[in-house]
Amino acid sequence: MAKQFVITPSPHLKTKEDIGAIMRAVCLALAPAFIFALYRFGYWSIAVTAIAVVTAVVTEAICQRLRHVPYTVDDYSAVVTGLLLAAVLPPNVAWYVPFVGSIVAIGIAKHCFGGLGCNIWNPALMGRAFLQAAFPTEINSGTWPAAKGESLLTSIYTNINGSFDFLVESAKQVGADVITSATPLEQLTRVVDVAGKVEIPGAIYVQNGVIQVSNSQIFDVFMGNTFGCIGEISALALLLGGIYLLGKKIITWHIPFAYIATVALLGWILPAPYSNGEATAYTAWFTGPWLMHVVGGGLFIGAFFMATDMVTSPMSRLGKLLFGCGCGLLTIVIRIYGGYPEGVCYSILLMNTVVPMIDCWTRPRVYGTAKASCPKH
Amino acid sequence: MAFLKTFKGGVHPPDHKQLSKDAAITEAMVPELLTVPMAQHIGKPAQPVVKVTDEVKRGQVIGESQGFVSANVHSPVSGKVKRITECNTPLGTKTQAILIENDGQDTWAEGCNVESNPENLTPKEIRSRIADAGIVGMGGATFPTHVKLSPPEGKTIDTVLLNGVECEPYLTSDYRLMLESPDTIVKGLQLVMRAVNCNNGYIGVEANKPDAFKIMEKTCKELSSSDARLAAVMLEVKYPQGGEKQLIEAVLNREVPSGRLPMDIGALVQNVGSSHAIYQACYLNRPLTERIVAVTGEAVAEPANLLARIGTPIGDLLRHCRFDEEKAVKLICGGPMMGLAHFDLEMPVNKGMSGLLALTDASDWDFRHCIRCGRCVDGCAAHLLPSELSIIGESGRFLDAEEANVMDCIECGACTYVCPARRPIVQWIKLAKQEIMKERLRKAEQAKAV
Repeated sequence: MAKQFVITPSPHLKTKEDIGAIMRAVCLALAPAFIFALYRFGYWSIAVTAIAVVTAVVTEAICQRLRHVPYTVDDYSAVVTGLLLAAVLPPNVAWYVPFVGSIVAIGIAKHCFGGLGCNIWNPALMGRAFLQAAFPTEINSGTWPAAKGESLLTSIYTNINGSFDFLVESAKQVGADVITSATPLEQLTRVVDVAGKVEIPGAIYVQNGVIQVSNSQIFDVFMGNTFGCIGEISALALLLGGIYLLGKKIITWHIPFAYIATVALLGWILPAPYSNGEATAYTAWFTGPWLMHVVGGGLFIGAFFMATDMVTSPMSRLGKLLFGCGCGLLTIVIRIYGGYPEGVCYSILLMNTVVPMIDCWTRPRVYGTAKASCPKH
Repeated sequence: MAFLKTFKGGVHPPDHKQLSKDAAITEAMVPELLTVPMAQHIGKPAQPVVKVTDEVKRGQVIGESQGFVSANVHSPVSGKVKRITECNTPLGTKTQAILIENDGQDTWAEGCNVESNPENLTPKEIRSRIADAGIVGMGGATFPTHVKLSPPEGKTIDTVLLNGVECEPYLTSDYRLMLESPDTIVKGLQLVMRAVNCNNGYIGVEANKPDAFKIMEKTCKELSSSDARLAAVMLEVKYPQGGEKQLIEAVLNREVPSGRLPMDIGALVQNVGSSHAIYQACYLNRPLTERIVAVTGEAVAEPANLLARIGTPIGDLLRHCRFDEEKAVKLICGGPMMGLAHFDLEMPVNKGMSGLLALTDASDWDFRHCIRCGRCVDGCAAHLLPSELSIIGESGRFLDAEEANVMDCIECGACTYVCPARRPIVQWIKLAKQEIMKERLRKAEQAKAV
């Protein structure tokens, strides 16, 4: 018999970059942040991460079995969800927090909607939002390992304000292993006018209606010498990962740029409420601590890793810019005027909801026609 | 270099041209028996005008053009008509074919292969020479050239674009032709410009062929004159830069309106191979009986650019290039992005076969849900939403795709190349277009019946 050749329709070439390759690149891009977490918070932060990842993968397999669809755990998307969820959890949480969070993220936020590609909200952030409601004390305990690499709870040093170095030094002096402290963003939300008397070095305060943040504080926060969640404390490590994703063309610059620029701009423009001892006053316009808003909290992990999630972000470049601006606006509004110190999680979830509308508004103009296609369905 | 002209959209597949780009054009062996298909072009197949046992000369018309949108077919060798039968064609159809036994003499028919000076030909005469020579779009589209050169009353063409882009991976036939025969290409362009009475001629070349660009630029400068301005344009390396509409967009910054033709915006695009064939028809009185085929791919040991007679079995060309039949998984006529896969080694070379690839990759993939990465949207040269079309196609609602402008798709396959979920997007689009055409036909018939 003559040789048989394979017949398929064109194209006969396919990019090597499939879903698995994209997800593996995202995992690699998160590596610097988790390596820094290991150095800064010790092994328990990595144990939390491992629990989140394993639970996510197992939940994915179980869901696919229950839904009678093919197993696709080899595409690493559940691993990414697990990593991202762990990244936005505090380093001292109990084992059941990441466990429950991953089950909600994969089982409810992802598979109830039809699995990868069909979910409306970012699964990791849905997990985080659920945990915020279910375990508010665990999520917001505000306790952090005092020394690098240690996390055995023996005694606690409590001081909600102050710079990282000052708190670690004070904790050492009283022999404490754990510090209770506010994150830089929590400090921003409860700033007071100290009338010029700064008692605690490194604290953020208000003077003459302007929030005072020194460059060294901002630098500390950028490097990761601060308190915060496992994967989000070092803006530098996240920036490295973000640059890697941009270089590999996994993400485009549109969402991170629009997101960060909007936060910076509005963080600078908008007046923030503070306590002047008797009542609530507002800082002056155009004096906001915009750099602290940019490097502090979860903005970098949100802008580079969460908002850029392909499934839950718009497809066109203009849509991505709009989406990023919307995330930035909501983030800064929640941070300055809302009930939570951090607004990244809810802002992205809210904007995820708007994505189908953004996609509808930003349909490209079809070649050779006057306007965009607009099907009725 | 920073701001090369290009179109909006596009993707960057690996070009694989290094396999055959340095192989100079060589003549392929002319086989004992040639199978000349009657349908090598878009339009009505030609009608055989020879009988079995007739003696034929090279360049003699053996299939006569039927109507305006059709093309003559000539005998590629001298010899005897052995049989009139059927064969598979690279267009994926079966068609009538004339089998010619080669007598090895290669005697030209009377009046063929005679040098002549086309200086004094009128536009109409140039067009009829081109029609007589059976020239069709040699980039793969195979649309009869004389039809393209005859714009209807009231439409004027102000610019002729020669397509030397060759954006399909693997293919190198146009590249070699530009390097080895720049004069004939540019003289052919001048003939086309005279045929449609216009003064501007451009040759578009992608930036990954700087040597071809340089030589075309030099030749254009030498042959340029005040009433025929010629220039070579370097274009960004991007697929599908060589699409007709994309080339026009890149060079002239004009868009062909939906459902219309390039001539509606005063542009005419010809492949460099067609231009070479036009030169041969007008200067040498040689009808189209041979073409350059890039024979390449991972299963070919000695990739080459072969000057092959129309009607040569593709198996002969592949064996000439020491192709490994065991290793080859796929045979493709044309480029890997738009070319069709074939199985028949006896299938003949036709006028549109720019490449013949033997690939070792079966390229059969499972597909998954769309992950909305937007890469197909960024890559779509027609600015459609391929992801959305793929979802419409997957659910079988083909007729709904019409509202999403599916008919404006140029079927370049960029979306399918770039899709990380491995979705067969362009395949669904082609199905949808077929279903919509069927529906239109059905409605037209219904209207007629009423």
